[in-house]
Amino acid sequence: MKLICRLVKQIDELEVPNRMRHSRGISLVEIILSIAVLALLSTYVVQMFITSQTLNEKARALDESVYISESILEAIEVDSALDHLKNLKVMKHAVFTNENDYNVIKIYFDKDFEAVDAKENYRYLLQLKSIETQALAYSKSTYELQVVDIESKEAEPIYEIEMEKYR
Amino acid sequence: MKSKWKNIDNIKMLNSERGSSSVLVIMIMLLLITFGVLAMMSSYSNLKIARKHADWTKGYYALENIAQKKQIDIKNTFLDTATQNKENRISVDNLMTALDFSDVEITSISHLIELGLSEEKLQQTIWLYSLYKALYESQQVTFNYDASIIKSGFDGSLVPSMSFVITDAETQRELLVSYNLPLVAESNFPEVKEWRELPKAFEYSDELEFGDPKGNE
Repeated sequence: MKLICRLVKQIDELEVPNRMRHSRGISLVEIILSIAVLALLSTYVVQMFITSQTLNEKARALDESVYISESILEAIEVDSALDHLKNLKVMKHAVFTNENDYNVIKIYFDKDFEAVDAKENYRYLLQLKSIETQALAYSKSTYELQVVDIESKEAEPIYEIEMEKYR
Repeated sequence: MKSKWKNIDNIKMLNSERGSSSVLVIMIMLLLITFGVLAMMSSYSNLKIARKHADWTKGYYALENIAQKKQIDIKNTFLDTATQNKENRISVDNLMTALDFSDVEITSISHLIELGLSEEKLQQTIWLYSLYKALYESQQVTFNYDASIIKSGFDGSLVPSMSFVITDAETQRELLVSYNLPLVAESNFPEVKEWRELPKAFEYSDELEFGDPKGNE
C-alpha cells in the first residue's frame, strides 16, 4: 500500500504542465457527445441494413415462387391431369376446390417456403386456376398460377404466370 | 524565441487526446455506412437478378403458348392432309385428281411416271408435296425441300423435315420448332425434333478491331 502511495506521489511530482495534464484522456462530455452522434447516425445505418434485409427477403420469395411455379407447370406439361399433381412434394397439404368452372388448387407455405396446412400459420399462398375450353378443332386448357405474400402491403402478387395447353 | 514556443504548442497539440472520441465515432460511422451501402447494393442486385429470371421464365411460357397454338393448327392441317392422302392412295390417278395440283404442270407428274419412278416413290413424292402445299403458305412452315420435288421426284437422299419459328411481338424472343416427316401419310403427328429458343442476333461493335492472332495482315 505504501509503495502505491509513494508511486502516486512521484507521478504527481513529475514536471508535467497543468494544461497538458488536463488535456489527456477522454472527458465524460466527449463520451456522451460521441454516443449521441453515434446513436443519431446509427438510425440511418440500421435503416440501411433493414432495407437490405427486406430486399433480400423479396428476392428470395421471388426466386422460390418462380422455382415452385416452374416445377408445377412442368409437371402439368408431362401430364395435364390435375390428380397426377398430388404426387408432388409441394402438394402435400394442397387444397383442391372448384370455383366458377375453374379447378383451383391452393398451396400454403410458411416463411421458409415449406408447404404447410391451411390451418397453420402461413405466409405465402400459391393459387393454381385451370379451365378447359372446347373449340371446334381442339380443346384448350389454361393454367393461371400466382403466388401472394399475405403479409405484404402491396396488392400485387409476388409472381404470376400463365400456361396454355392444346389438345 | 517565438518559434520555440510554437514548437512547444505543437508538441502539446500532438500529445493532446482531445477529439479522439469524435475521430473514433467518424471512423466507426464510415465503416458502418460502407458496410450498409455494400449490403444494400448486393441485395438490390440480388433482387434484380431474381426479377430478370422471373421475367425470363414468364416470357418463355408466353412464347411456348404461341408455339402450342401454332402447333395445334399445323397438327390439324397435317392430319387432314394425311387422311386425304391415305383415302386416295389406292391409285396415283385418284390421288392426283383428289389433291389439287393445279399449280404444278401436269406434265411434270406424267414426266415422273415416265422417269420410271416406282409406285412407292411416287406416293412419297405426292405425299410430301401435298404436305408442303397445305402448310407452306397457310402456316408459314419451312420445309427442307420445295415444290421442285414434284418435278424431280423424291429420291430418298434427304430426311424430310419441317420447322417453324415463333416470335413474341412483346419480347422479340424467338422459338424454333422442327419435326422429321414420315415418308408415308400417317394418322400420327410426328414427334418434335427440336423445340428451342433461338439466341438473339449479336452484332459486334465496329469500334472493336479484330485482328488475326497470328499477326497476318
